[in-house]
Amino acid sequence: MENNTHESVRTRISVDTPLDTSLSRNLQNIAKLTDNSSDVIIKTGMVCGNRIAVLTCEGMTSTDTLAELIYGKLNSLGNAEGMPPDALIAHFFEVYMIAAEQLDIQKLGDLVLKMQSGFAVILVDGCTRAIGIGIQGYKSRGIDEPSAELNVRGSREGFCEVIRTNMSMIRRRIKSPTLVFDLHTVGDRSNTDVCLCYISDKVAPELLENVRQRLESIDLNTILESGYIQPYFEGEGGWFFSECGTCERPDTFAAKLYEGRVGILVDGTPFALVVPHLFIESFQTLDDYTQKPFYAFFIRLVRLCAYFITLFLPGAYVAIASYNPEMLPSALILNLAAAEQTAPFSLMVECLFIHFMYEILREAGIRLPRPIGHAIGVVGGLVIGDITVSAGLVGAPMVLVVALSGLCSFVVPTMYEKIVVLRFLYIIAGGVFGLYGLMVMAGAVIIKMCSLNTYGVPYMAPISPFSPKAMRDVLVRAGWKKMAHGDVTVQSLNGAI
Amino acid sequence: MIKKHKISASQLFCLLILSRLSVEIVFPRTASAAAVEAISALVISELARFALALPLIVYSFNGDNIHRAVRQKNRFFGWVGALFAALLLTGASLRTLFLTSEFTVKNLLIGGSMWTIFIISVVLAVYAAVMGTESLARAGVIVLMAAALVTVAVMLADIPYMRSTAITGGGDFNEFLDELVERFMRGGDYLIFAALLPYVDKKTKYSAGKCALLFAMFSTLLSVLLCVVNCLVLREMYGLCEYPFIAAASLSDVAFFKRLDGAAAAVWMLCAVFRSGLMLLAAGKTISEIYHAKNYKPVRENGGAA
Repeated sequence: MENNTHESVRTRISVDTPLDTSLSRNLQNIAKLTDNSSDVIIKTGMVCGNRIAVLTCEGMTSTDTLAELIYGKLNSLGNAEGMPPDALIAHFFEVYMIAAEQLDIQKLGDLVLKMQSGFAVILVDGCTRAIGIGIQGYKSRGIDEPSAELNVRGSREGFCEVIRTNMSMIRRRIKSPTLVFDLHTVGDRSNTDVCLCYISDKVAPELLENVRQRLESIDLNTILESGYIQPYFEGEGGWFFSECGTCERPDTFAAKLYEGRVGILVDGTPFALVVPHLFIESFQTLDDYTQKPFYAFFIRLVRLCAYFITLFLPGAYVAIASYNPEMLPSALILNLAAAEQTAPFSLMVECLFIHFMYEILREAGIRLPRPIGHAIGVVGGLVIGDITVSAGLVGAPMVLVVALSGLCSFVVPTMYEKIVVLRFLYIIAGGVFGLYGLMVMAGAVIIKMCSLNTYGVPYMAPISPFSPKAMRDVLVRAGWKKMAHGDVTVQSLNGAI
Repeated sequence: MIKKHKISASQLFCLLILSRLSVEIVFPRTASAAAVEAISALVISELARFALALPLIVYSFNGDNIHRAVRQKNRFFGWVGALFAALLLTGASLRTLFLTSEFTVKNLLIGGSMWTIFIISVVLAVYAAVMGTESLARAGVIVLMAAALVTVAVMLADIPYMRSTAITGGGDFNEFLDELVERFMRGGDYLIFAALLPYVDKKTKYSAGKCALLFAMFSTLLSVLLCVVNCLVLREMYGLCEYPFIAAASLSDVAFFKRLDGAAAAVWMLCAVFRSGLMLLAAGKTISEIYHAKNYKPVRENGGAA
C-alpha cells in the first residue's frame, strides 16, 4: 500500500500527488487512482503543437456542451501554430469564458474529484496545471411536488436531489444580498456537497459558529442522505427528541431562515435540515399562513387535539377502563364490559397487540410495490378489523381506539416516530399503573423536553418559557398586518441564550 | 463571578403556586373542622407564614442570595441556617412524596402497593431535581396549566351542586386549632423561594420581591377559593372528607366523563411530585450556594446583582 493521506480512503496512490509535467505519467496516475474505472473517458489530441487530454466522467457532463464549447474551442485553436504548454493553459484559462466555473487544478486528488463531479478537465503535456471546466449534465429528477409536506395552497415545488438546484429555488424566494450560501464538502469517500444557508443579519453568530463546528466534526466516509449527518446537529436529547428539523419545501425553508435559523442542504437528498427546531413547529404548515387567521387557528387546534388523542387515547383508555371505570358514563361502561367480555386478554395486551399489528401493516404498506399496495387496506381491514373482533380476540372499542389513534397520528407526520414509541410506553404505563403511571411517564417526558436547549434556544419555546410576542404565531395566527410589525427570531424568544 | 440567570420571576411564581396548591389538594385532612373554622385557619396560617417570611420578602426586593448574606454577617449562622433549610426542604420533600403515595393508593390505584408508588415517585422527583432549575421551571409551568384546566373544569362542573348555606361554623375551638396547626405545617414554599432567588432573572427592578408578594397574595386567595368551593359542594360532609377536592370532583359530570376525580387526582399527584422535586432541587442549591462561596464578596459590592 503506497502513501495514504486519508486513513479511511485507501487508494493505490496518494490523492495529494501533484500533477506531473508528463501527460502520460499523469494519465497513468489517474488510471492507478481510479483503478481503471470504466466511466473515466480520456480523449487525447494535439493543440498548438502540444499533446492534450480531455478527461470526463461518463454520464456526469453535458455532451452537447462538451462538444460545442470545449472540443469546439480546442479545434478552433488548431495545431498549426506552436505554443508553450503553460501559455496554452493560461490562454485557455484567462481568455476563454466557457463556463461559470473554471478552476485551476494542481493535485491528482482534486482532478479526479472534479472530474467525478461533472467537470471536464484539460491536461496539457509539459504543464503541471490542469483546467477544470464545470459543464455538469448528469441526469437527475426534476422539481416535483414534495412527498412528505403537502399543502392545499402554495407552491408545488419541493427540493430535489441536486444541491445547486435547491440553492437556486431558495435564492428565487430570497433575492437579498443577506442570504448566504456556505458550501462545504463532507465525507472522505463520497465528497458530498453540504451547504449552510442563513440570512446574515438575522442569524446569531454563536448559532452559526456552533453549526459550523458541528459540520467540521463530521467524520463519516459516506453521506447518502441528510439523515446520516442529522445526529451531528442534534443535542443530547436527539436519541428521541430532535432539535434538528427536516424540510422538503423551499418556501418553508426560506421562512425558517427569516427567523434566524440555519439551513443545511445536502446533495443527493431533497430533505434539508434546519436548526434549531422547536416543538411547536411540528404543528405549523404553510397553509396556516395562506388561509384566513380564524381557520388557521381552528386547524392548529385540530392538530393539537389530534396529537394529544394519538398520544394519550390508547393509554388513557387502558388506564381508565382498567382502574377507574367509574369515570365513564354507566351506559358506556356496560357497552365496554359487554364488548370485552369474550376477549381473553387484558386491555393492555389487546391494545399493544393491535398497535403492533397496525405498525406491521403500515410498514408493509410503505414497502409494498404500488400495484399490490391497495391489498394492504383489504387485508388490514378484514383481518385486523373484522376477524379479530368476530373471533373474540379483541373488543370492538379497542379497534376503534386504535384506529382513531392511528388516524390522528397522520395529522402530525413529522412527529410520527416519537408518537409511536411514546404511545407504546403510555399504554404499558397505563396498563400497569393506571392514570398514575400515565401521569408519571408524561411528567418525565415533559421534563426531558423542557431540558433541551442545544442551540441556546429552549425546545419548548415559546410555550415554556412563555414569549408573549411569539404567541401570535403559535396556536393562533395573527393577521399579516400585525405579523408584519416586528420580526420574531429564535434568538429573541424568552429563555434563548 | 457573574452568574447566568436561568428562570424568570413569572416562572418562579408559577412554581410556588404549583407547590402551594398541590399541598392543598394532595395532603389529607386529619382535622375535622367545619367550613368557617377551616377557612379561618387557612387565612391565619397563611398570614403567619407570611409574617415569618417577611424578612426574606423584604430582602428579595434588593438582595440576591439570602443565605450568602447571612453568611456574610456571621459565618456560623450562615452555615447552620443553610443546613437547617436544606434539611427542612429534604424532610418536607420526603413527606410530600409519602403523602402523595398515600393519596395515589386511595384515589388512583386503589389497592396498589404504596411503597412501589413511593419509590417511583422518588425516582421522578430526583429526576426532576437533577435536570436542573430551568427544566423544572419550564415543565412546572406546563403541568400547572394542565392542572389549572382540570381544576377549573371541576369547579365549573360542580356549580349545580353548590349551596350558599353550606358555609357554617361548627363552633369547636379545638378543631379550629387542629386545622390551624395542620395548615401551618404545610409550608416550605418560602424556603424554595429563598433557595431559587439567586437564579431569578431580574429583568425589571424588584421583580423577585414582587413575585414573593404576589405569591403570598394569590396563594391565599386561591387556597381560600378552593376551600370555599369544596365547602359549598360538600356542605356538612366537608369535615369528614380526607381529600375534599377529590370528593368534590367525583360529582363533576363533563362531556365523556361521569366523574373527574381520577383526572384531577392524577394531575395534582404529578404537581405534588414536582413540588418534591423542587424541594430537593432547592435543598441542593442551598447547600451549593454556601459551599461554593469560598471567594465570597459582599453582595453590595456587586451592586446587588449577579
